[in-house]
Amino acid sequence: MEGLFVILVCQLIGEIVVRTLDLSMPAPALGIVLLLAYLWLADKRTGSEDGAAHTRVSGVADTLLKNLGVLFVPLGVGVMQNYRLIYDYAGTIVIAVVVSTVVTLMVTVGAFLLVSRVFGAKGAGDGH
Amino acid sequence: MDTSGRVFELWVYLSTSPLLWLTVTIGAYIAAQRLAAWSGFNPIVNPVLIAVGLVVAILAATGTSYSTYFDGAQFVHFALGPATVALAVPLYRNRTLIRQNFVPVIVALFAGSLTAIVCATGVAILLGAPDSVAISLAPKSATAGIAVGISQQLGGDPALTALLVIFTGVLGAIIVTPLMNLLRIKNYAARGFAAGLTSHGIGTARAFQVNEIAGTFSGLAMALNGILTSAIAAIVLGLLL
Repeated sequence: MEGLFVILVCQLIGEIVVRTLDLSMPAPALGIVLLLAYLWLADKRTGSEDGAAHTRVSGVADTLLKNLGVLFVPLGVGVMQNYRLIYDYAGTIVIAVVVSTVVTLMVTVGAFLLVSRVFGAKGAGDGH
Repeated sequence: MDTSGRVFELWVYLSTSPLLWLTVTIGAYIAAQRLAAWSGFNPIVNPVLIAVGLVVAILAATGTSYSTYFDGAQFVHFALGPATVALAVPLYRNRTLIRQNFVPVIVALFAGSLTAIVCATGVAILLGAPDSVAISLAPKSATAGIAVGISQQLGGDPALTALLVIFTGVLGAIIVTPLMNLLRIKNYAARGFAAGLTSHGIGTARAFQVNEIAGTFSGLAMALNGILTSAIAAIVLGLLL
């Protein structure tokens, strides 16, 4: 129960900040940052790694994340309201998704490997 | 009153009650999960997509409106916010991993996140799609709870974005393993990071099937890209549109 409370408070503060400052950022995204800060500060204060704060939140968090799929269903069903938009632009949408998915996968893996290699080589040279 | 009259009366009552549609949502998802398990968790058999199809079919067959359905389904929908905030927990758990791979993680995160937004939006604009479709496409590599919020705030269609998020997730999960094998990439941290950045939770579920390290890096990429996309989507779209 305490874990759920902490998560909800993080989302609530996120919501208040986003609305007050008129940020173009979803409240849950800010909530992630706030929860990270809470976990870090709480463990720092008690001086324990993966201590009380983490244990308090992890049960609820893992349950929510394990069932993430079902939470998308109501939104997905909402598409039936404006199927015309998809119907009219089906070709464009499919091409945009396929191209960007393939390119994003390749750019991400390429960037990760390139930088790992550059830093790996430097590390090996220094370690001598 | 005859029996069919009673049944009709009961239906009229139940079909507008939140209880029925909440039950249908969860039931459809459980059925879809069974189907996915039965297929050996083939990424094409995605439980979210199947559950959405099932619910849409039931609503169409019974002539139920989306707003009546949502009265019940909103209880499930609400949990998407807290579930998104909960992504902080695996991120915190793997902080040592981030520290050890800090530079590759940050560079790949920025490169991938920008590519995802620019590429999807750019292709849509080039093919002559209206702004609402282009905006709906922009956050589709981010996890649903964040992508839908971005789409809503920037003038896209949240429901379309939800479907695009699922579509991107399923597509990425299907092609990531053959694509990486084709490119002869054996670094499972890099492979997993690309899967999670591109295809969020669905890509992460797939990555965990392939390799434990890939799965962990995939989950990390999903959470980081959710945060970054929400921070830069408005700026990038401002430059493109």
